[in-house]
Amino acid sequence: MSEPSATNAPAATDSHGHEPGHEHHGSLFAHARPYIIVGVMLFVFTVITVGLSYFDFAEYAIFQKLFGVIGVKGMGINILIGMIVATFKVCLVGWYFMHLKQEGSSIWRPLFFTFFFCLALFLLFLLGYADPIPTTSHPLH
Amino acid sequence: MEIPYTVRPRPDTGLTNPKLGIWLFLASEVMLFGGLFAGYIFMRLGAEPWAWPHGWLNVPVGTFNTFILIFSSVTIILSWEALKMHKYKQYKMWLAATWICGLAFLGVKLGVEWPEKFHHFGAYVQKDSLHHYERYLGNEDQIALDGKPVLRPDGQPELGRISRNLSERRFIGGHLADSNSMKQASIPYVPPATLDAVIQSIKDKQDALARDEAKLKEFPAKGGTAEQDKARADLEKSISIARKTVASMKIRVEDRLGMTPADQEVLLARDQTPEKSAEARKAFLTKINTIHLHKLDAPNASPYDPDNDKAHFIPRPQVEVHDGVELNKAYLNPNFGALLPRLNTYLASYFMITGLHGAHVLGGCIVFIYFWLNIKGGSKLYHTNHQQLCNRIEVAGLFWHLVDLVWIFVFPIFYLL
Repeated sequence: MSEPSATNAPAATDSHGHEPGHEHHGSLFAHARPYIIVGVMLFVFTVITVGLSYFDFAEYAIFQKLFGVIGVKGMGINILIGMIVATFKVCLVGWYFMHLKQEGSSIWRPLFFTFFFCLALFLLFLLGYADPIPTTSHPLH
Repeated sequence: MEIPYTVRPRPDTGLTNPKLGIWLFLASEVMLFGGLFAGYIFMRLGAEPWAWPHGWLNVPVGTFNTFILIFSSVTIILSWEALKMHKYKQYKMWLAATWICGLAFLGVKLGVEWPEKFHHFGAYVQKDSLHHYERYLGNEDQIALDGKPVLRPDGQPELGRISRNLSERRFIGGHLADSNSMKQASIPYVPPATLDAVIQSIKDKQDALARDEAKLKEFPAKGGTAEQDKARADLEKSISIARKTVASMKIRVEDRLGMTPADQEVLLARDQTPEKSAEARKAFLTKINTIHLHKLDAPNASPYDPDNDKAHFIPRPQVEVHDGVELNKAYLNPNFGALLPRLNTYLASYFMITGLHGAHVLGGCIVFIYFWLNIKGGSKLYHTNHQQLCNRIEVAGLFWHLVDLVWIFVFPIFYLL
């Protein structure tokens, strides 16, 4: 390997301001506390996800009314709630573990486009499901 | 050539090149899995209620795997933090914990979850044949032999799924009896006409071969005229080809129709009476077209039990059936067999998405083990270029978090909802 160039020379200090080669004192766990808290939250929300799946929301009038406003009923309520919890967990992973909370526009910009492409993928499928062109509508069987 | 900006951030993006690269890769991965999830949801919404299974996957095992992945997401962060803090031993320990968790996840998938499905038999009964297996499906109201409704202990009539406004049940699942192999049980229904046509075509080939062999015996020994030698050589060649054809036909019928060499001997025998021949044919068709189960899934064993309509965290055990259950392949949808992708769209999606996710887990483990080893591109970098090793662990960690993130959606979608 060639000598490190100016663009790849070992950093004099790392992003935490630590000098390389120097053994740091202090607890790793104290430093990583937020990550451990998020990890515990993910465990808890996994238990909640499992628990919610055995609870029939459609049996309760309040949930029927609440979700009926957006046209979701029956098992759909459970699916939607399950997806909301999963999305929350994913946000925790992205925001804390993947450090999105401290990233700049170089990362947010491509992610922004990814989000819309993903949304478009779902909408295309939903468009197919809704089958909105009358002349092409046909029963499944 | 050295890749620039692997250690220091590039001034225009403010990021190191690998970090920008991994984020673009992760963006493409999100779209890949997003498309697959969208396709799955589309099929789920479009499926008829009886066609989409619920509660087939082992939830405690899935929950355990979810915990493993979440734990590994924490350990990779701890490893990276320890590395940043120059705590070499802790960095190595948490990195090892991460790839051990990854391998444990794969071990559970390949050692427990998937093999369970390979040994489980399942079949959908055809719509016009449901009455044959009503006692295992429980769609109609239960009627006793004397024509009166069967009553529950509370005195109320035992109502079937149709009366209870539940979707029709068409699936029968369980474990094969020892007399059946999964290969034999998965062979498609063989109609009598197909068997007759196959036997006739093998017999015709064998007859033609016998005629040619008899003709060869009548030929004068080698050393006759040139024309005779040529005709003899042609005949020998055609006999050799015919022998190979017959042999390959027999292998094919064994493979596709489950006709073992012993079956073939009986079915193709020449010197037997028409009665014996018809008997052999009937026995073979019964053998090949019947599936024997000795254990049934709980919903089929007690189809009227309302507890079987609910999801259960601990899977309900299969029930041993006295005298077993016989399924006639003629009454089943043709894609019966082990719980493999061909059985239904749900399993096809399950194996596709969890398989692709598993490949990502394996890829992550390989990278982590490479970084963990004390080699040039791995942990040795700690002493030569500490920051570069930090960046490597960070980039691999980002990939690992995506693996975790995908599983966070896979788990509820497939296991719970």
